[in-house]
Parts: sequence; C-alpha cells; structure tokens
Amino acid sequence: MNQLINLLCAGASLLLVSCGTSGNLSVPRVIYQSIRTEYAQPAVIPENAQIAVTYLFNERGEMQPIVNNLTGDVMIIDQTKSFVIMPDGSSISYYDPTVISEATGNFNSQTGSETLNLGAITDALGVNGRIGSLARGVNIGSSTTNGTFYSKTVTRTDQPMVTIGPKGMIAMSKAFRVAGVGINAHDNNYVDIPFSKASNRFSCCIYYSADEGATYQKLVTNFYVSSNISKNTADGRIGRAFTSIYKEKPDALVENLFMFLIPNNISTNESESSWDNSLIQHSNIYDNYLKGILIDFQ
Amino acid sequence: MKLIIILCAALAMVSCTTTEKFTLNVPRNATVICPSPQNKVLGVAHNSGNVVIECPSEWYLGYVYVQQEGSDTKIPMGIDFERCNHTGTKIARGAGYALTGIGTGAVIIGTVVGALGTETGWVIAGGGLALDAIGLGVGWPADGRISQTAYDYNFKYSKYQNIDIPTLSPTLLHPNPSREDKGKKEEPKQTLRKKATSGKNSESATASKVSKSRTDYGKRIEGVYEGSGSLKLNGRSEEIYDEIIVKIKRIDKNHVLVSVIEGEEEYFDAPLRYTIKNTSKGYKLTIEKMPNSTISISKKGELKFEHKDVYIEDRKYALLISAQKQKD
Repeated sequence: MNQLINLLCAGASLLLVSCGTSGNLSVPRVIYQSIRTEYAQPAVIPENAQIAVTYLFNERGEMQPIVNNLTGDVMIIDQTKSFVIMPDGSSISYYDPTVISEATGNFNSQTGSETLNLGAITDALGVNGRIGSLARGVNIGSSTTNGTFYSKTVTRTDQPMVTIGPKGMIAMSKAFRVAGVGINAHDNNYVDIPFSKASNRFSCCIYYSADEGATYQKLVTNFYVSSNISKNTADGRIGRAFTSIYKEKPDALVENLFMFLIPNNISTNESESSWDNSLIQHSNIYDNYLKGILIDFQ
Repeated sequence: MKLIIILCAALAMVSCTTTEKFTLNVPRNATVICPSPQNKVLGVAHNSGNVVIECPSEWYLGYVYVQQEGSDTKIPMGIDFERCNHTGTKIARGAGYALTGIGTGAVIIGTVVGALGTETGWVIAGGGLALDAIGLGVGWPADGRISQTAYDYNFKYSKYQNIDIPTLSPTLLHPNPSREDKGKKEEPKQTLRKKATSGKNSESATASKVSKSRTDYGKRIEGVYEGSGSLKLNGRSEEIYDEIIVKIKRIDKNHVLVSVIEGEEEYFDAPLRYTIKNTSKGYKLTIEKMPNSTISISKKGELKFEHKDVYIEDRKYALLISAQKQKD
C-alpha cells in the first residue's frame, strides 16, 4: 500500500510542475511612424486626371497599390514594367513569376467606425459615375482617408497586362513588404524630416496606357518615412510612451498615413506558430493602430 | 456524487472566461472606446473622470481610444500593464490535476482490488471518484483561465491609470510642398515669393556701432551653413525649404553679414548685419533693435536661425532654419 501511495504522489508532483505558460508579456517599445509622399497629398483630383492610385499599407509594412481608371475608356496596366524601388535601391517588378509575394496582413487599420472598402475608395476619388463631383474637382480631405481596408475584397490579377474597365479599379498583383516600415521600423528617432533628408525612401511606378496600348505613360510616386519615433516601454508603461510621442509630434493624428505599433511577444508567437501566414488574425490582440491611405494621380 | 459532478461542471463552464478590470482616469465626460472592430464604448467618464474598464482576459489591449466631449477625434492612448504570475490560478490548476490523477489511480487500483474480493478495494475506488470530482472542480476552471492571454503571458493591467490627453494640433505642422508649388519653384526665375525684408525697415551693412573684443568671433563663425527651414505665418507653415543655405561673412571681430539663399536666390533684399556674443554654449547673434531675430551657433557648428519679423508683401512671417556648418 505504501508503494502505491508513493506512486500516486510522484504522479501528482509531475502534474503540479507541468503548469507551464508562454512566458511573460514583453513590450519593448512603442513606435510611431508616418509615411508621406514626396509632395503633399492632393486636396483635389483634377477633372482631367486619367489615373489615381491609392496606396494602402499594413502594420507589417506591406504596400498595396489600387489603381483607379478615371477615364471613360479601357486602361491597360503593364505589370512587367510596373515596379517598386525598395529603400536599398533594389527594384521588383509587379509581374515576375519568380517572385512570390503575398500580403500577410489585412490592411486593417482597426479604426473601426469607418470601413474603407472598394466603394469608399471609389467615393473618395469621385469615380463610379459621380461625374458632377468630378467636374468640380473632388475633395479628398482627411475625412475620406480614415478607415479600414480589407484586401480580400479586391481582385488581384497576376498577369503581365491587366485591363481596367472605364471608371474601374484593380489591385496590383503583389503587396511588397518595405524594409523599415511598420513592425520592422528602425530605432532611429526623427520627426517631420523633408524628403530630401530621408534615408528611408521607396517608390512605386505604375506603367499604364489610357489609349488601348497605343502609348504608355508612367506614374511614379516617391514615398518616405517622414517621422519615426520609438519609445522604450520595458516597464510596461505604454501610456507614458504614447504621451511622449504626442509631445514630440503634436500633429501625429493628422498625418495622411500613420501608425502606432506596440510590438510584443504574443503576436510574434502567434505568427510563428501559424501554419498559414495569410490567415493570421489578431482578433484579440490590439497592438497596432494604422490610419490613412496615400493617393497619387496623373 | 452526481450532484458534485454537475456542480463542478457548472462551475467550470462559468469560470472559463474571465475579465480583466482596471480604472482609467480621463478628462471629464470623455468616452473610452475599445479598438475592436465594433468600436464598442467601454465607458463615459462622468464627474469623477474615472471609467472602469472590463475586457476579456483573452485579449491583449495595448491601447484604447479616448474621445473628448465635443470632439470627433478618437485619440489612441496606451494602456499600462504589470507582471502578474497568477500564482493562485496556477496552484489551483496543478492541485486539480494532482487530485484528479490521484483519484483516477485510486479508482483503478480500488476496482482491481475490489474485484479480487477485498472490500477495502471498493472503498478506495469510491474515495478515488470523490477525489476526481474535487480535482475537476478545482482544476478545470483554472485550466480554462490559464489558456487565456492574460494568464498565459503573466500580466494584468495596472489597476488605476491616469490618462493625460496632450494638446494636439488639428493641422500638419510641417506639410510637404505640393507638386504644383514645387514645379513652379523649379522653373528658373519664377519665384512665388517676393524678396523678404528683415523688419519694417531693412537693416543694412552700414548700421550700428561696434564693440570690440580680443577674440575674432567673426572669423570663427564665418562660413556656409546648409540645412532646412520653414516660413510660418501665425504659427502655420506656409513654405517648407528642404535645402536652404545661410552664408555668414565676417565684417570684423564682432560683426557679420548674414545672407540666406533659397533656390539659388537671395532670400532677403539685403544681407542682415548681426552682432556676435560669445556664450557658454557657443555664439549668439543678434540684430540691433530686433530682439525677435537671433541666430545661435553651437561650438559644433549647428546653426539655429530664428527671425520673427520677416516681411513679404507687407505680411509678417517667421523664418526658421536649422543648418550645419559645411567644411571649407
């Protein structure tokens, strides 16, 4: 009987020590980042503009261009000659079968109240039959740059040439991750630097034809990280980090595209254990706030 | 026995999901909103300014929105957390598992012994079942909690958190130039801005008295400084200069002429005459009778130009420049 009791006690001890957890929550820093285009965002898209490109970013630093055909004719996008130039100077074509790129985030800014889907972008740009608005010039002020975008709602076409119908839009075939943007932000601190002084610049070139392939034009948009503020939060004081970011940049919330990032080991662990990156959902983890879109036109 | 099992199961069901409670002190009548897709209002701070927040333990809530009364802006503000081992819950889970293990062992052994004809065996088996029930009752709810994010990652939100809403600017303080403006500037000899005047009456090189010193400060700071700047009207940036040059030319030991060059053109209609003072941090340059116009230059050659009496077409602007001395 004594042996039996010893055996049971040993089993109980094993059970007691098997209560492991995933570790302690670690939030090393809070990052604020704003991304700008070289030139100020347009207040109005002129009546004679042929193309407008909406650039969406997610917290992982992936950029997704949505091309809007503002003409009444068919527009052709040559994806073989459309590309992104990364901060290190490397260039990646949107149609390159050797390059596999898939956005792993949801372009979900979690602003919640306003959902920026395809229809909202259309409204923002004044396309989709809103000729009256277009004729007067369409105001795309701050109110229309709020929102959430779900990339799942957009059709991507990984073809060399993509055709967009009159007043239509399409997402470019790939969303490339830009180094130093989003969760992989550098630790450097700078506020409102001009484009000429920026070290983290990148560009996107959309090569298009508005006359059914007779002639081609390109729309080149230059981006840069205009502000990057990183605050240490080793003691868990996230609130203080937010406050000091606002003190350094009082206009933090009126940038056309900005994000607050709270990198932590919960998200990291989830990402590592996920069998399919494209399905990552942070439904219970509120660790990033991304707001805004960038627009360019020609 | 059945009753015990049912009670334990019911207890387990209601205890699996728990919430984390903490208090936020925000400005009076401000609304605290959850950043979930539904933008759920977590509470409104009435007289006390306190809002008790309750969020599921399955979440990690890094921030909430605070919306002040009468404002449309939802300001994201960080939520503090502390390390918390949740030791009680872990012990409960371990003890539950242990009791269940012992109970199950006792049931098996007791049944075997009982089947061999020994009465004590059935007593042991009965006791084992009771232990199983208690173990499940204690361990199951605790186990449910441990898998939740706050327990799994050993944290809790700080019980009382004071949120100071900072003063925020409703407009961009340093907007980029528009494509149209930039294009116009790049066209030769088509400056948007007329020549600026320093003060109502432009100071020239001929003005002011000279106070002498032994050290030749003029020679020390003479040179070309390159940097960026902005022209502000009532605190708002009207123009941004990505590249602007400040040229300092020595007049004598204590005086210099300062020219500002932007877009290859002189900014002012005449060079500005400054008097140099040596300070502990470097040099301070002032224009006589114009206290709003100063230049400070550090010993490392960092220049801060501030001129709040710049007149362009009868409007008073402030010109701010930050620049670095270039090597000769």
